Amino acid sequence: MTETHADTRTATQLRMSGISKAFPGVQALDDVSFEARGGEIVGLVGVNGAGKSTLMNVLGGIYQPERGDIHIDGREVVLQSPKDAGRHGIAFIHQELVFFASQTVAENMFISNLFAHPSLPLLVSKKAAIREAGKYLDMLGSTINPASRMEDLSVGERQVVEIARALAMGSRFVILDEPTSSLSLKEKRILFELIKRMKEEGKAVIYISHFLDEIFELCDKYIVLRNGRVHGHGEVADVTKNDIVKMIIGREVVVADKVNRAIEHKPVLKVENIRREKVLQNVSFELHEGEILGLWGLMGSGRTELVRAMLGLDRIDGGGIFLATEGHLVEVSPRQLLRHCGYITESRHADGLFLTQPVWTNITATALRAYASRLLRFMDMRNEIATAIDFIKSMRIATPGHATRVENLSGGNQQKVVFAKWLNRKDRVLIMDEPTRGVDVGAKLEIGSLIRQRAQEGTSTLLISSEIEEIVNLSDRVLILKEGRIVGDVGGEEINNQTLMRYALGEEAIDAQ
Amino acid sequence: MHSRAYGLRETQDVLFSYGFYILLLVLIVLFTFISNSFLTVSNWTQISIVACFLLAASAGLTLVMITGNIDLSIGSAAYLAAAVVYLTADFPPAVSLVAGILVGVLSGSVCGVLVAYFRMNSLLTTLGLMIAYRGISLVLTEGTVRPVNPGVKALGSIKIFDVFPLVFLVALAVMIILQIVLSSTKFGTYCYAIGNSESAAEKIGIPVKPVKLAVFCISGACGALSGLLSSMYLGEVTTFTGRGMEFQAVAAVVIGGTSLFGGRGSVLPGSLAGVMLLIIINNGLGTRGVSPYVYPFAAGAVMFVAIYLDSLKNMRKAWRAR
Repeated sequence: MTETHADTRTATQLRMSGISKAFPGVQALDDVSFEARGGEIVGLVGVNGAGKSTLMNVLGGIYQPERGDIHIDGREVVLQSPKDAGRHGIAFIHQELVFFASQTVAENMFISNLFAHPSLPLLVSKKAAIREAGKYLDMLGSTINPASRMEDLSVGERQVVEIARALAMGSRFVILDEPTSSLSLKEKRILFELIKRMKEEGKAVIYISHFLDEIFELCDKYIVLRNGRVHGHGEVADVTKNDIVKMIIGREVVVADKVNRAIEHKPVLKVENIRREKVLQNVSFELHEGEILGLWGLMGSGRTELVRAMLGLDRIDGGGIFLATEGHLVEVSPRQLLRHCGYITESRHADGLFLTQPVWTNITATALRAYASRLLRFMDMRNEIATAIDFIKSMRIATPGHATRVENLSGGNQQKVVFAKWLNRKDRVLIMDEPTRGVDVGAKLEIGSLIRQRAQEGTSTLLISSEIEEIVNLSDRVLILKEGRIVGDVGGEEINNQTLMRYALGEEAIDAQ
Repeated sequence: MHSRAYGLRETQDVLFSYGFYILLLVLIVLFTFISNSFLTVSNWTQISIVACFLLAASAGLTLVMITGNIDLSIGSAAYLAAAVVYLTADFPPAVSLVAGILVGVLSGSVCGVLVAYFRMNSLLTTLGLMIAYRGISLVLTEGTVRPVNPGVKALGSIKIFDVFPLVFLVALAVMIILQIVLSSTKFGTYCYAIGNSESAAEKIGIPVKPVKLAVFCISGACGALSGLLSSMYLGEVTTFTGRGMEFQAVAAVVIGGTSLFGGRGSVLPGSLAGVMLLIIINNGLGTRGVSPYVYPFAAGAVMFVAIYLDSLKNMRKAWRAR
């Protein structure tokens, strides 16, 4: 109707207009319009729950909108299923990759259109699939063997396969949902190269990310969603990061100014020469009372591995752990340590929560003994629920009630439940691995102030984060890990981006720049 | 030093991957040495006959298990098919056999519809149907031993080249066909995909429900085939037909490397070797004159070794992936 004379460059075009979608109790999308053209990368930004995923699930054919329509190349399309979306050239690469672990790369790439055997009827040709898969992987400059099984590849390699798959299917619109969340630095570089190459080939790439750095590095355009509505869109070149942050959270960012606290030299936990072949090389450190000790390092530096080894979740080849008991440091086994400190794991979905259980049982799960009767250990559920309600109020956990299943909460609120669970046990030592992964900016700030408040009250915290700002803002002292050893121990004014990166990369890397 | 450590790991890998085949080989060698009558043509002909019922049943079951489901109704499907052979004793043998297989497909399709379209749990569904089908068969045969058509019985004693029993060759042929289906057809590829991740398979547009229905039909047909082979060989239908076979078949398939969680496994060599292991233990002990009451214990012990090896292998994989 309003179609203009499309020149060749903008021939591929996708337009979603007036999309609305409601779920019970939430208006997930409210009159959202969105556009992507071939040869450009559109960054889709917004906090969790802003509607990014819902919008892309509509485009991917997973959800059907209540109102609004989708046009591809000026023609209206109805996307009833992921298959429909695929037919119209839309490929959705999910954050949690969808793949078939025991099958080969080639089978994964061509599973929805396998090659017929050239001579034998009914059979499929594995050779042809492997040859074709190899072609597309070559095009992407990848050396992945198309005959290897998906389960034997790294996360980054699997992502490359997904992209190759999108190319092989002839997709013109490629949606990438938080693609870098579990990639190493090197894999991220490779991915960015691939995305740029897709753009040059005239494909439209829709890039969903929390990381504004990535949006600014990669994208031509941006669109910001907040509470299911569009709160800004345009050319990335015309805006600053601060502008986008304002659109995302709808108010000025309050950067919590940090006060350098004096930490008493009173060790609570001491780790001495922990070793594990190829992963950890004689790591030693002390954690003091009320201290927030940041553990920083690049992907693969051994941060999570150190914590897992300390807590007996991975084997160790040597070293000792000492825990303050009645004022003296006493050697404990890793398993004992696990019993005496709270451990907020990297992934709340895998090992942080009982997702199908209500909020209250999750909150009291770590301290069941406190609610059990002396005789026969009957549970005092009323007391449990009272505790849960206290936490829900004090931590402002947004949940319809204490009996709501945790899986129905948003990411940020789920993470608050994880915190509540450990705070309820009142351990003196808290170990946090990526405490704010996948939570929105608002919840991030709240969790940050929570960590600080507990530290004021004397809790010692070991904080791991891949977000440097978080480490800088919260830590009283930072240990920098590199290749399984501690290469830096900085405190006070020294804690800043430059210093941490310099240690993490090593001096050579800095000189080379 | 580094290279030696690597070499050791490689050796361990081989041991874990093929440990169960090595175990089978060791048993054969062992029995050959301790029993004069073990490694003889007549004994192996006997082994192939005893094995064929379980081979046929486990072939279809393998497909079901690769999709991440289980079928416990196969033993009763065998009895049901045998009962149909008895009911059709007045017709030519071909009619009996075709009718028997069709009944198997039908009984499998009931499982398939319930599991795929009504989203019922396959373990419980097929457990229920196992009891129900056996009940129907008991009604049909009135719970007693029934003769079959002499023509059918004659098939059971045919030996090709005087050595290979027809019943065994039929079972083997079914295994070969199903292995080709698994490894080289679209359908087979879909089976593995569904076993890996049903939701992913659905998202990608694989016809999950029809494929699941089909594997249960195949499994039912294979169960029925097992019943037919047994009625051919015995020349009669007894109430013991197929009883307990489902559990032996599940054990054989799992020993043969098919995952209980779906997504991986094979008919050949996997399930064939799994069945052979169970049968050879019984036979080997038998030729040595060991009391039959010991067999289940020995078979159980071997199963634990095989499954423990498998879990060790998976643990190592998870360990290394870290």
